[in-house]
Parts: sequence; C-alpha cells; structure tokens
Amino acid sequence: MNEYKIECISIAKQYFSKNQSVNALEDINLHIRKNETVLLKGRSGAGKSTLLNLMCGLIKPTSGKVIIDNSCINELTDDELSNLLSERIGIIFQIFNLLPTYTIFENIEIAIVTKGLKESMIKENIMSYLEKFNLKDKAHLLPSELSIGQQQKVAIIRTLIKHPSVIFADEPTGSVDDETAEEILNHLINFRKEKEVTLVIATHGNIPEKFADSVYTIENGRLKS
Amino acid sequence: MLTGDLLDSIKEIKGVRDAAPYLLYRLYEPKYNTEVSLGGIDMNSVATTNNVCAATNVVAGKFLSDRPDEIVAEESFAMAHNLSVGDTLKIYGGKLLLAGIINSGIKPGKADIYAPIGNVRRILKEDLKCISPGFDMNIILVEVSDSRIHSQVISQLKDRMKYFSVSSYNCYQPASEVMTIIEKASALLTILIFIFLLIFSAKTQLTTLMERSREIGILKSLGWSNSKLSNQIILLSLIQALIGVIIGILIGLLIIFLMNSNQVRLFNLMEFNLRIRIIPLLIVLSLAGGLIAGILPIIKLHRTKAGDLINNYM
Repeated sequence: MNEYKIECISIAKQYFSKNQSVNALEDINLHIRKNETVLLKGRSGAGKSTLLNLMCGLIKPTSGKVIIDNSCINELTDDELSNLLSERIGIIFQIFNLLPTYTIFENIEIAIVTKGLKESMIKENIMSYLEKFNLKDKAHLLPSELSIGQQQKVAIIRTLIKHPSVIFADEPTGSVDDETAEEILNHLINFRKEKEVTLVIATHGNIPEKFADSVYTIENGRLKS
Repeated sequence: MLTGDLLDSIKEIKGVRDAAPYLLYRLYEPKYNTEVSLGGIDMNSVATTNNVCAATNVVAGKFLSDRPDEIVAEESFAMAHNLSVGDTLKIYGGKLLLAGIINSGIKPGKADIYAPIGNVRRILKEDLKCISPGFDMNIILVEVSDSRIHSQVISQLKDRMKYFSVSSYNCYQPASEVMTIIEKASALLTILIFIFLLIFSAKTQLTTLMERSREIGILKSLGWSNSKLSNQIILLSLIQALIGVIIGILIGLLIIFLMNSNQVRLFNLMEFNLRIRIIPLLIVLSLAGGLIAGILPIIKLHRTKAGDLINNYM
C-alpha cells in the first residue's frame, strides 16, 4: 500500500492558442501524505491553479500522472471521476464559483443532492453549517446579496459539507479581509483536525507557513520545495 | 327520373362531399323578348354554393329568404333589362320581387334568376301548371371532396345514373394535378422546415450549453455525473420541443379559424381545416426533434472536462 494520499508524477501542462504553446507546468513531481497540509506558494500566473485543477481531475495533464488513493485519476471513467469528486474531493475555487441564480441554500444543496440523502437531513445539515459560519439568516439570499467574505464562506461550506478526504483550496483567503481570512483558515484547520483531511492550499503568500506541514513554491511552472 | 332516393344514394358515394337538387327551367318571356332561365336552388348545400350561386355573390340588395315571391337575378341579366333591387317582375305567370342582384362568376348551373327550389316547384306547378312528373328536380349538383378522386366519383355516378347525362368541370384534372403538386411541395417544405428547425434547435441547445458551461462545470466539479447532466439537457430540450409544438398547434388553429371565418380559400376552392389525427404525429416529431437536438450538446458535455467548462474553453 502506497504511503501517499496524492502523487503527481512528471506532470506537464501546455496550453495552445493561435499556433503558440505555453508551458503552464513542467515536470512536476509532488507527493502528499494522508492528513498532510500542503501550501503551494507562488506569484500570480506561476501555475498554482493549474496544478490544483490537475490534481483534482478538473483538467487533463499534457503528460504525467496524478494518483489519488492509488488510483490514477487521468485513467478513471467519467462516472468514476464523478464519484471521486462527489465523495472524496472538495474544491474551493479562487472565485468561489457560486451559481448566481441559485440561493445560498441551493448553492450548498447541489454539493450533496447527489448523495441520496433524505431532504430533511440535507436541510438540517446545511442549516447547521450555515449557523457555524454565522450565515443562517442568509440561506434564502442570492450570492450577489452577500459580501465577498460571506460568499467565500458559502463556497467553503459547500466543500466541507461533503466531508471529503482531500480539500484543494485555491487562494481561499485571497479576496477577503484579514479577519475573515483568519476565520476561514481556522475553519479549514479545525475541519482538517476533526475529519482527518488532506489539505492542499494554493496561495500567493498571504497564508502563514505555520499552518502547513509542507510548503512548496511554484515558479514559472516548476516546483521548488 | 331524378328522385330524392337517387339524390340520397348519391350522397352515400365515397368521395361525394355533398349533393343537392336543382330545378332549372327556361321560359320565353315576351316582355323581355328572350328566354329567361329560372333556377330553383337548395340554399343550404355546398354543392349549390360551388356550382350555382351563394350568398357571398350578392352585389346589391340581399340574398334569398323564405318569402315565396322573392328572387335574385344575375348581374348580367339585371343590367341587360335595367332591373334594380326592389323591382317587381311580371314573369313566370306571376309577380316576383327582385330582392338582390348577384354575380356568381363562372358556374355550370348558372341561370338568369334564382329562387328557393320549393318556390320554383310551386311556380311551375301552380302558376305554370307543369304537373307532369320531373318537375321536382331536373339536375343533381354534386360536390366532390377532393379533385384527385374526381374521376372515380364520376365513374360511380355513371354506374348509378345510366339513363342520365353526367357532366363535370374539365378543370378538375389540372386542379387535381395542382393539388398533387401542392401536396408534394408542402411535404417537401415540411421536411425542409423540420431539418432546419432540427439544426436550429441543436444550435440553440449548444449555445445554451455554452452559456451555462460555467454552471455545468461547477456541477461537474461537485461530482454531478455526465449522465445526470445529460438527462437534464435532454429533459430541457424535450420540454422546449413540447412547448414549441403546443404553441405551434394553437397558432395554427387560430390561423385556420381566422382564415375560415373570413372565408379565405386557397385557389378559391380549398377550405383550411385541422386534421386532428396529425396532432399526435406533430407531437412525436417535435419530441424526436428535441431528442436529436439534445444529442450534440451532450456529446460536447462528455468530451469537455469540468475545468474547461468553468473556464469556458470549449
């Protein structure tokens, strides 16, 4: 049995546009243990988001492999990948990616509606999370009616409510004030401790390294430990 | 001899839309120094309307009513003898009131003046003492439902009316050809419209997918399977197709109603009507179109990764 939760082996990603290719990532090798908290640091455009998207199977690498729980996610069928994303992987996006026409309640509900839970249980679960994040009275509102910090909290609830074993967070505190950033980080760290979660956070530098077990830096698409 | 029984049996012939008695009599009238023809008509029959005259042909005054002394005259006859609406004509052994002037156009059963058939029978029997048999009707007017089966109806009529002459508009043959051409053209047009709508609908579905790509990408990233999302796309496409066909049928019904209530006819012959049995076919075709239109976006959905959908790299 492999000791690693996540492995990136010789990952490369190229983007093609107008007869030009851009090397977003080159020869990335990364090994993350179970319950480890990893910080991926780097400047904007360094390739952090691309690496996170590759690790959670949202995009395909040009070459190389991503292995989660001993399964190469690039070789999974659509249904297997959907199952992985639904059951074991949580993603917190840099721009929250809340659905603008859905209420806060519905935005969270879509993350667990596929699990086949009872409606009353789903509601109870969502409301308890909203209460924990001081958003209970916002359930019926649209994302546009919330502040940026509150929207980010909703995006985090949407991830945590699935109880994933791995969380990929792309700049989770990048758009919020210091106080909200600390609150969000505390929620993530507490969740990691309670549920034994592997946490991979991409940041341009506003998250203190003390939160992480390992810190890696990405520069021009290459990884430096 | 033409009888009511024969008339009823003609009405039973397959392809006969309606048949009506007609009593056409011609009498020399010294006052007008010419033979004046009087047509006794069944005003309620479409066979009369299309072969003799109709209320829509009135150019002055009004059409016939139940009054026993009322007649209408053809415009050409009225002009030739300086007749006006309201004139009393001393004709056919009595006095007849000119209620209206009509222009029936080119019709095979055209006369100079017309009256309801019951009145004409009375005039002939009581005023002109024509009491021998054969003065109930001397012509049977037949309206065929479709010019394409005109020949078959004529041959059946000839079988039943061995001792009478059968005549017809010659134009039924070109009319039949025109009808066939129209039918083929409309079938072709329907197929073309269907194909066009299919392409348009698929394009619309694809555009919708692109507009909703971020939403679908987010759902995929949360673990929604392609099959679940595909079902939603198909369902949406089917609902759109169903709404479309229902609106289309309702608009069609409204157009048919408006055209018929305003007596708009194609080539002055074809009445528009709704074929109820075609409605299920329309619905099935529309749903099939919706299903096919949903396939293209589903293929796109399966081929595109969640991250590319979120970033709209399709």
